Amino acid sequence: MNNYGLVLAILGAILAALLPGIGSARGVGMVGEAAGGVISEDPSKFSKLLILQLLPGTQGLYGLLTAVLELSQIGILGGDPVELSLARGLMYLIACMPIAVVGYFSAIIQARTAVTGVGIVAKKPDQNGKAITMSAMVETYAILALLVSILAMNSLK
Amino acid sequence: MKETDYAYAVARIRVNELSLLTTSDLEQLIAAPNLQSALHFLESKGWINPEDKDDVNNVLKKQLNNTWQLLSEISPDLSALEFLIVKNDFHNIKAVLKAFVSENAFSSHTSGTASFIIPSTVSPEQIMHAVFNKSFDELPGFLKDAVTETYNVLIQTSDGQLADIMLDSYALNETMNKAEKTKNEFVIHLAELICVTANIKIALRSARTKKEKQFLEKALCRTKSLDRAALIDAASKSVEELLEFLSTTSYSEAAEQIGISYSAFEKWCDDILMSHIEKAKYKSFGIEPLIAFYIAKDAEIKNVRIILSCKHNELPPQTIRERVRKLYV
Repeated sequence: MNNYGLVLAILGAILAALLPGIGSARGVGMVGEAAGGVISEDPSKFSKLLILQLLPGTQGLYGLLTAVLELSQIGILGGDPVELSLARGLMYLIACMPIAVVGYFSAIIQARTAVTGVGIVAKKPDQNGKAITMSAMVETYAILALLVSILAMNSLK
Repeated sequence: MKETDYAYAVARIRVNELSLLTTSDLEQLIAAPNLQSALHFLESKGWINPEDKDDVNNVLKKQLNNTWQLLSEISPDLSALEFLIVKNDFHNIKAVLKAFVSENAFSSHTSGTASFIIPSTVSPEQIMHAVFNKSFDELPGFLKDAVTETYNVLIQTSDGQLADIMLDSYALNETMNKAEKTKNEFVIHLAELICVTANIKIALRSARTKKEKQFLEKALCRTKSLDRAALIDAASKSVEELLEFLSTTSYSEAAEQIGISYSAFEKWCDDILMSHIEKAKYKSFGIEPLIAFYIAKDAEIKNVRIILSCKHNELPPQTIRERVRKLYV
């Protein structure tokens, strides 16, 4: 039965890395497409657009951070897996859910906001700070989800 | 096609929108003391090349075709934009059929191109080949029926006006068909506005020339927001009846503008389209900004043509201002 707890904990780590990773890949791709449209007409805007393209990529990093932290706690990274009860394994899985779910959706929504920002930079390059700020606002909720996941995992130590 | 598939296209359109003439540009153009100064201003804006100054009409034609080329290059689904240019195919059919019937055949594929309008969904040469060889099956379904029917009418009656109204009606119905295929509310509403304004124009002309109901039945296309049967009924009676009918519909402003002048009404027809496409200004995804850009470019070309024509005729700035259409940017 102890193995099932470990399986659930590993599943949590995988979901934490997987879902925000997919969201970020889709988001960065989407903004990249829009940025490509602007750069093909005006290559001088590359540096301003690169920041916008990077913004939806952070959720993938938060997911990775959560996964590494959890795998470290359950001893998978050290090569010495701890014994976990089914309930404890389930708690690890649930602890990963905030960043897994919020990370996925916030990456895509942030990308949509960043694409709007690409339109702003295309027309008014001097307003790129506002475009970045608006897109960065979505980041708040990914950070909050990361915080909850980390606090929940720390309480399981 | 998903809205997000248009991210690249919309971004390119946003950059290209920067090259559209602004209200202040048009104001400067209107204020130009003469035609040469106006052309010089357009040259300074990169709108025309110095060597094209003597052939402005051709430049205006090229501008719209270049816009279509851009849309063809960037749009993930060009068929969704075809409702914008399908009327040009029907215009080209008119040109080819008239040349064929009057036995004024084009001696080569290039000699008749001045009568053609591009962009079009089918190349004028293809239409020319199909008509001159009577091989209408070469044409796409929506053109085949129109060409066959109009060809027969022209051969049997030699009535050019009847052929024209039949093709105009085919063009408007096909605009609506193509728009409906997109299942996009913005596109369908835009096509509806195009058809309604065209119907009102035809109805007004018919009422003024006292055309019969039968003529109007053939000429007017189907619309949802303006009762076709009631429009035909009113237009077949008198201009006053037509205006009275229009004033009871959601297009009552058309009646007011017709009351002012025909050019005010024509301006209203263009402005109502512009008001509709303004919604696309703030969209980052979807086909709407592409459509809006094409219509904005079309309006810009129309404005430049109006201003240059007024300058050529030495009309005062105030008269020009009254005729200039609403801008997108």
